[in-house]
Amino acid sequence: MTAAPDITRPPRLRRFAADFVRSPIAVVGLVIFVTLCIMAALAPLISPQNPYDMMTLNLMDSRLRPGEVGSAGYVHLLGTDDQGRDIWSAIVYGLRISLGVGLGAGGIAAVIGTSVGIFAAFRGGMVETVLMRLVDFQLSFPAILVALIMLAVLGPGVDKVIFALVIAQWAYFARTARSAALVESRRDYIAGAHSLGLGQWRIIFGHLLPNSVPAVMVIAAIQVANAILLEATLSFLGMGLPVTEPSLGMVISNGFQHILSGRYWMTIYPGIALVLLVLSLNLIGDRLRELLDPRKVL
Amino acid sequence: MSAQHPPSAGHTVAETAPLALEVRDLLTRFVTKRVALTAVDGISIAVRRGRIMALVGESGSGKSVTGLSIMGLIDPPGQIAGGEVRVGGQRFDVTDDRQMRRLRGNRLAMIFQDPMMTLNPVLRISRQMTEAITTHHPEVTRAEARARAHSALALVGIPSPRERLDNFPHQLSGGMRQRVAIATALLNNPEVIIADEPTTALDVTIQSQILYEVERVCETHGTAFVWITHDLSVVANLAHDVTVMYAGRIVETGPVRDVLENPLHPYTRGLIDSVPDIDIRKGKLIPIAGMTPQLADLPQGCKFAPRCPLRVPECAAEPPLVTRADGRAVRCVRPLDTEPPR
Amino acid sequence: MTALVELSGIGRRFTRKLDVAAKILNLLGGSYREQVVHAVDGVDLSISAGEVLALVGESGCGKSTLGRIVAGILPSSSGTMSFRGRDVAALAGTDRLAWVRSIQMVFQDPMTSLNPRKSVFEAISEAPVYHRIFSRAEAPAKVARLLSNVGLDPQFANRMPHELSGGQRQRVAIAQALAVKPEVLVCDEATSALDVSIQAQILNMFLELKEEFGLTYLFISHNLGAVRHVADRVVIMYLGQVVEVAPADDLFATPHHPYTRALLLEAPRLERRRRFEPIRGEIPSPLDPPSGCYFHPRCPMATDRCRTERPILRETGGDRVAACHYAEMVSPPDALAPSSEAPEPGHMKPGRAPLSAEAPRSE
Repeated sequence: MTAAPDITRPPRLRRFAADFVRSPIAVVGLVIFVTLCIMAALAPLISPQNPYDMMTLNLMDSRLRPGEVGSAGYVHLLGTDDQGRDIWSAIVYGLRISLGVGLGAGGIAAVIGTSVGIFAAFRGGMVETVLMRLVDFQLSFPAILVALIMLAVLGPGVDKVIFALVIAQWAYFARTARSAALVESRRDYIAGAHSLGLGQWRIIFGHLLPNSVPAVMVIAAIQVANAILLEATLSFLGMGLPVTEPSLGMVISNGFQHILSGRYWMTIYPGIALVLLVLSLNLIGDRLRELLDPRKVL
Repeated sequence: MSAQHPPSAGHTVAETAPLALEVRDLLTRFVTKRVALTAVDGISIAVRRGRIMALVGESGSGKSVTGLSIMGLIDPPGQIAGGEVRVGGQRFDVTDDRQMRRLRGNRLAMIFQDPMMTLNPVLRISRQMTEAITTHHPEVTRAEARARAHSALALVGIPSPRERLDNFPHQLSGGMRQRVAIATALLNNPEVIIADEPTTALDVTIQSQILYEVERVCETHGTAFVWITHDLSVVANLAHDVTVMYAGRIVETGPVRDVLENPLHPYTRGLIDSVPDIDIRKGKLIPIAGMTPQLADLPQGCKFAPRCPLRVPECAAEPPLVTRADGRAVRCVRPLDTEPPR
Repeated sequence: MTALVELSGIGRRFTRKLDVAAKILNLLGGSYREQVVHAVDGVDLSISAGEVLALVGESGCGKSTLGRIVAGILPSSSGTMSFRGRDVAALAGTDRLAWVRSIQMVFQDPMTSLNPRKSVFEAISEAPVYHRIFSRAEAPAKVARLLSNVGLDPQFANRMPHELSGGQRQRVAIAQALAVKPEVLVCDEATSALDVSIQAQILNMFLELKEEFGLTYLFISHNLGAVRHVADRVVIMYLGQVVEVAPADDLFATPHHPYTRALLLEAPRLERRRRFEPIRGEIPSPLDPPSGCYFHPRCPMATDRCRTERPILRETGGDRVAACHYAEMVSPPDALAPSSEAPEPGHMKPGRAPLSAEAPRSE
């Protein structure tokens, strides 16, 4: 008898990566996104101050223009705000919170939504009808409205914002996952799996889920961007995170009152950071959609 | 024994009728960053008026690409790298899109396996058919075009053609749609129709209706057909001549009875033996060993040699397509009717 | 022979339910109805152990639906099915699982019948390991064995489906089915998507596997040549109903139903060129089947009786049944062929010796 076959992973992932990088604009998106992630991760190392440690703030340094040297002796690259907070540091720390909330909310919504969608597609019948009507109902409200209502009920807090965002977004995942799973479940290999006598959980997790994930991944990138935007909007409206955990949205909001007095840097630079973050995710999402589009001839 | 085969009506068409289509040394390549392959490697075919030439092969043989190349319908990364096409004796440049656009649907038409390739789902049949006429012949009035569409539908055996004209494609069955596609192809009385597996997706009874109509059209209108198929039994029932393709090349060509009853190439013989026979009780079939080769990874020498039961050392060099005195041509170092050397 | 699978009165309806808008319109005087298609309509059939039963018909005749019902993939909406004498509806737990595993299906399209994300090894070993037919440790050796059973090199275990040709995928799909030790294989157009030369290989393999594993087949096909090649008995279906059942040789020689006769006549053959007018008409929509005998609008023998009275499946002698009022009057397919085209003896297929496997000696 021959030796045990050595099960090698197919070069799918490598090929996928090779395909991905063939679009220069998507590579730009990926580079921006990764850079922003690294900046957020290394925030304490690359920022001159912790902008939310009141001890390090000095009101003497307030409203410095970009490039001016503050009392602590270092250059405020992007200037300071009205409390003497270094804008660069605020952006880097804000990125941290925005990314954390966005990825957290998007991730949780993806898991919940995908599970619901695939379960609905697999079970069909009444279960599917009820779940999908719920999805339709939810999708008929703007996400921002759902999040605002949730926050009004729950009050502020990082966990509550994430919860509100998940409630606002799971339905998108559920709908996408269901349609992907429906397409897959009509394929013969699923009928074959039933005929082989595999259990329903084995079919869902071993067959349906892995083949529905690509479709979910595409909207995941876009939905994380949406979650970040949604959170920034909530923070801008003062409905989101507590003041002690300021995200990009809150930094923008703080600076916004000064924009008419010519101190543009307090709001424009954090705004640019937010735009770059959302844009990079959208570029990545677009490329994923191109590559994973089921109608694409491979 | 084949010599006594009674001449049937289809064979009475003069063998000296003028050439409707002539293709010489057609070369179509597909070049991407990953692979470069030659899908059609020097194909030459000639079809006379009122004759049906079958182009037979398995997947990857290049038969469909040949059809599309003749129509000038090769999109990048594919490119027609050489060869010439003559329709009614007049030479056309298949890479010149403007020239081909005037030719297509007019003197040269195509029907596909899926009739929805040519039918627009949101337009009524009448609109599509009249437009097919007026695009090429703006002088024709709408009423006249409609009348011609009506008679084309009747010609291919569509019952109550007047009502059908006002239908949308989705209101018709698959067989009816294919008839409409054939009728549309016939509208401008083309010299040549290229048919790519048009009956493959249809049921047997519907297929035989369509073959019957096509045969009549061919006889009454003198239209020449290039009938691309994988199904030898369709070839046997429809075609006058047959060209067998393998790995982008012609391996054998000749009159259909000669080729089917006395094949010269071992591949042709293998294909014939692989077809399960309805009239003979079951037994083991004689399949061709191995699998159809990948165009990107062809063997050296004769492309069929690795699967050939009669392979000899000389097969290491690819033999040329040799035309013989009887008008048949074969690409084999030792055709099946040669005596093995003693 | 004992009946392994017995179907009685099996039917399958597909209903297109009314949506809310149509229901409201109905209240306002609209006349929308639920559309009901009887894809399979009251089929009685038995499959004996060890036989190859072919199921033949054109598109929309319900042969695939019936195949899926037999394989336990699709529930029937009426009738009963029994396996080894026990009603499958009453089976539960391990008995039910044993039945499901005993009947495996091979599908038409080898592109969708394998999970694109599982390697050949995973595809073949998953179910038997799940059912503890063999252990994970034994799997590599067992998979290698199964692969060689279907004529593939054990090295194929490492491949992914997209790296295989159509014929190779079909072989893997068959190995996957064989891995759970089935008694019945339902082959739904299993060779239709393959090249002719590959189709012949797979058909031969079916016959070899039948001997080796003692399999019973339900062989669903529209290809009469393939059916002739493998079948012991043939069932002809038209518009959801069985119109004729007969041993293969008898059916091909003397059909008892005009539809069977038409199928035999219309099927193109390599040996002769047909020169007569084909049977007229389209296959009717199963949404709106004709009155009386479903075949009467296309039947050259149809009478007034056929237009009003639906013929039932009745015995027509020699283990045969047919659903035609005039079964005894159906002429064999050769009788209508014009005399000039009647096959002379010996003309059928040029009596050639098979290609010798050895190359002629060259000096």
